[in-house]
Amino acid sequence: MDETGITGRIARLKEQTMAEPRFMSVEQAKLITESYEVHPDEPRVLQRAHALAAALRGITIRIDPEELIVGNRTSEIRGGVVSPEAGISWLEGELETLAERPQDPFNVRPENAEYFREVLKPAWSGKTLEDIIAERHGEEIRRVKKVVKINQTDHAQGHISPNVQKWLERGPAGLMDDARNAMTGSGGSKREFLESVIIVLQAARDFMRRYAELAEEQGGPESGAVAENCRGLADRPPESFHEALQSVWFLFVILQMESNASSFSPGRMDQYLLPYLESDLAAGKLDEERAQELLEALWLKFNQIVYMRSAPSAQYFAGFPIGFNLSIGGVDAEGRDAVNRLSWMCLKAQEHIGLSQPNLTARIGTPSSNEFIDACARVIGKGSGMPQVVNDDSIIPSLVDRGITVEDARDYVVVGCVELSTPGNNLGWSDAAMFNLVKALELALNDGICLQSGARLGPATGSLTDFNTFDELLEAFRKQIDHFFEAMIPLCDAVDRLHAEILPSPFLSSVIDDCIASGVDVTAGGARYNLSGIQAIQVANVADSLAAVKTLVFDEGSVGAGDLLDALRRDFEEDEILRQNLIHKAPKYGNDIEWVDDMGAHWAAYFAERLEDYRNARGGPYHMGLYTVSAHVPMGKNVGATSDGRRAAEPLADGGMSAVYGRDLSGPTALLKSVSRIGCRAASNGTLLNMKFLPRTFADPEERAKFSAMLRSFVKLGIHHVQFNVVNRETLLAAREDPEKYKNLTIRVAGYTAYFVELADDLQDEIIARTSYEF
Amino acid sequence: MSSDSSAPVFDIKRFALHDGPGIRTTGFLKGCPLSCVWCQNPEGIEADRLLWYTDTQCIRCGRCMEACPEDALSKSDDGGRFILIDRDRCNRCGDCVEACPTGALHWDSRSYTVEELAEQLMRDAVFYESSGGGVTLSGGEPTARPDFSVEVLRRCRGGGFHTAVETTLFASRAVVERFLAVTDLFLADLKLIDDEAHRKYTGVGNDAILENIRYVASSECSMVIRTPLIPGITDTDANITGIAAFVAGLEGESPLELLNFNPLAESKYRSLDRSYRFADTLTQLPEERMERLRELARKEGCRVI
Repeated sequence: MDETGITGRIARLKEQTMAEPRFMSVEQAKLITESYEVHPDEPRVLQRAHALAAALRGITIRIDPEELIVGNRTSEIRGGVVSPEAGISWLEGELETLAERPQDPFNVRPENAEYFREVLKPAWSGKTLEDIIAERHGEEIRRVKKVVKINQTDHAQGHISPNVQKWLERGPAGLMDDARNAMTGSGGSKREFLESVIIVLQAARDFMRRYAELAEEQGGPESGAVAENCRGLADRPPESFHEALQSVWFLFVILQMESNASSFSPGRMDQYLLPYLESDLAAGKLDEERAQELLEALWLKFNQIVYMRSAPSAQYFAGFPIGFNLSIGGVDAEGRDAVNRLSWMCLKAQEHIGLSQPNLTARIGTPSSNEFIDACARVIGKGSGMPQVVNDDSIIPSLVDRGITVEDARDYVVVGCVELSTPGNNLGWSDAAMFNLVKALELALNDGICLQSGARLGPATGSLTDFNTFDELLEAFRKQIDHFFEAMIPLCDAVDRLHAEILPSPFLSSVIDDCIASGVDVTAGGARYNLSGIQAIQVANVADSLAAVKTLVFDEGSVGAGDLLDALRRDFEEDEILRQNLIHKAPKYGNDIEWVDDMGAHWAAYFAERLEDYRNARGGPYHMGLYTVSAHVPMGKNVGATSDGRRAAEPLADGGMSAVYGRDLSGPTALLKSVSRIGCRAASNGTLLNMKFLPRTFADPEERAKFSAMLRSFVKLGIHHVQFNVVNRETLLAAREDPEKYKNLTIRVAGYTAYFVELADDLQDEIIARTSYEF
Repeated sequence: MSSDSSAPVFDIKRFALHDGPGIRTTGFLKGCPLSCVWCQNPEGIEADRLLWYTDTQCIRCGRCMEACPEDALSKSDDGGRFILIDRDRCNRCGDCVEACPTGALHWDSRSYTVEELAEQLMRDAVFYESSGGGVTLSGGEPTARPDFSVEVLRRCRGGGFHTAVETTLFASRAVVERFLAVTDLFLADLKLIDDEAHRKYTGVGNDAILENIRYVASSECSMVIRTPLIPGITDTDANITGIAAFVAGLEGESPLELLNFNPLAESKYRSLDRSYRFADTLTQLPEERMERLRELARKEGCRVI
């Protein structure tokens, strides 16, 4: 062990994880394609099951010499998996540029490019989720895309936390028994679904056995234990902490092989793994040092799967976020503090490893101890951007509002970045769409016509020069929002239904209650809870833009409506003085000014209320999220000049709840108070607030205690989420100059941590520019 | 300056972590009877509002020059900054501030009523409660506006909050007595123990200050004595030893805090068109020197924080 407490083995495995180059991988695509040829006429769910089974039995596997936890979905670390069932058309256009694109590049071997062009593309053309959606709904999706970005159109659905506890308790063999029992007397689609579940679980067991065989074949000091674990897990539930960790990892590898989707989240690992740890420690089978090393071996594995997205999608979700979100702390089913020794070990693992995955989330609330909050603050101060902090006091009631029971709500987890869900029973469909309110406001100011293209996008609701009062502008804004709501919801429903048609997911369904019992696939509504989340973007720009128009045009009259509209139309080309007045002479969101904050709060509330009018394709509610991941950059590109002084195509405010950068000048407490006014309770899909502090804030225990006290106030203020970048500006600038040297520098992008040097230049600039607080 | 119902405030700093316990909000009042050559808040010395110019915010539009009725603004030749201010000509009408679109030209302060300032200082109640924090009055010199300051503090304390005052304690005994009734913690500056040196560098002698420190020490209120370490002036062994001996001899348990030199004030002097005496010594004391001075103070028997 070195002085930080990390073992030599873990340090070496970490180095290896980060050093291996990334390649596009078509191996699984090939196995899937061959499987569909063998099963041409079966129902889709069975085709999917056979394809996954073929991959589990045929994919090349690898074990590295020192590994304690084994398994991956590609034989290369961080491979970019091609998923033909979900969509590959996007890849055709990117094959040449994949290695060079600014965001999330992957190397491509010539023989794989050739296979893609010669075999894969022709075989799947017109049959993928992506192609079918494009064919049936492409035009409508394009028509609304500047205001509403419809998601989940070219990949399978993730953002789900499986029932890991049940997986551990039953194992694949036990779940097969459950499926067999449920099958009794059933027929039709229910029977097909349950047969599919049995097929994939059987293949999962074979996959585990293959690792046992490989370990024995390779030999080495760890091979005996690895082989024994893998062979055992194929037939029975785990019997030790080590086996339980291996079992968890197999679960997530196989989920990724089935769906290749973002954000299958392990959830409350400190809760469901605790019995295994305690029993091994009590029996003397394990000491704490070894337990920590085993945990960290799993920690590293979470960094070995990345998600290859299309170039546009990689802009929205930059830095390969895979969303292995792991929550620690929080309350138990009775509402008592649930922090245990494993919670502390997870924090220590984060301190030791400090890589981008897992996405570590600390649940805090009124019952949390000062020790736990301070320990979180200390790890945050290390600069990996983690743990992010979520608030039990505000989130639990927010989920109960959506029809989730108090017990389930107390067990909530964060999936992916900041999306809220309940573990093992919920298809939250967190990212159905992103709604660009700032663009809708642009249309409200300009009679429904796009400032950038001059094309009509929305209904003719008048322009700024037509309005006699500020309220008339607000009324036009409301009409624009309503118009795009009507277009958006049917598209979200259509995409949702096509997932059920094209991408049923029997393996995932086996670990989501109550799919096996009801015999209904998770994509078809088999989960106990079926939500759909739509993001309202971005309250800060809406509040600032409206406040500027109200103050300068309608209240003071110091800016003429025509002058402002002309300036916006020509992107402030001849209007720098006016632009400066918009920035400096009108109050801004984030400074604890009630009426300005309420401008944002009002429209967030309106948005959430409108969503209550609709039910999704699986019969559950729509609800609102206030987060953008990294989408504030590409969504900003779709918006012309705005009356908050922002130029056309510049990024919107980051995060979701954050102020426009450089506009919150009253310090972190004022920002938190402004954010609290937006009303997180209605945003039950999740919210995101970025704050940036300098490292020295965390060096002195006394100052750190004040930071921790600030987190207590965050709990009282009812804000769902906050996360911190703790890094010096100088370090970021240095990393941009010399990326090789700063390969491991992690940075909080959105709801997740990415490697700073792997982000595109514009996103790097944007992060450097964010307001930073110092003490 | 008596019976003020309003006062010029040049800053309200929220999330202040070095002005007393917990998370605090500190209000800075203008006007100070001392004129320390190193003053960190030069805008706080003068009681009247001052025109403040930040060149980095200036977009060179020239509207301020057009707006000025006294021709007090002109274009600078030196290429570095854009605007020169003839402060003798300036009649402080504010037309240029109104005209400036970016805030490059602005007032260093604005007037607050007691109600307004108290309301602003109490806005972060939710943070004071979690951290054991509260409100702090600073300056300038809060005791120079006793009616205003005491009333603000009284209201904040009435709101249930911990109150602190950053002060030189250069005031009459009667004024200090009024503050005692509304203040939980005095953060009292003692810069130089030698009366002659004190007079030379701050403009006033230290008799009243020492007397008031003794007086506060004998009261129920808490106090921290703070000495800013100014290179070549207050950071001498003799000064620190002398101050420490004085602090050690006080009634009660008041500790001494040594504050490292803060070179950031340089930019403030520039914004006010003033020269900063320490422009060439923009480095802090090294930690070894800090520790050496703390050690000297401890030897005199006083508690150093």
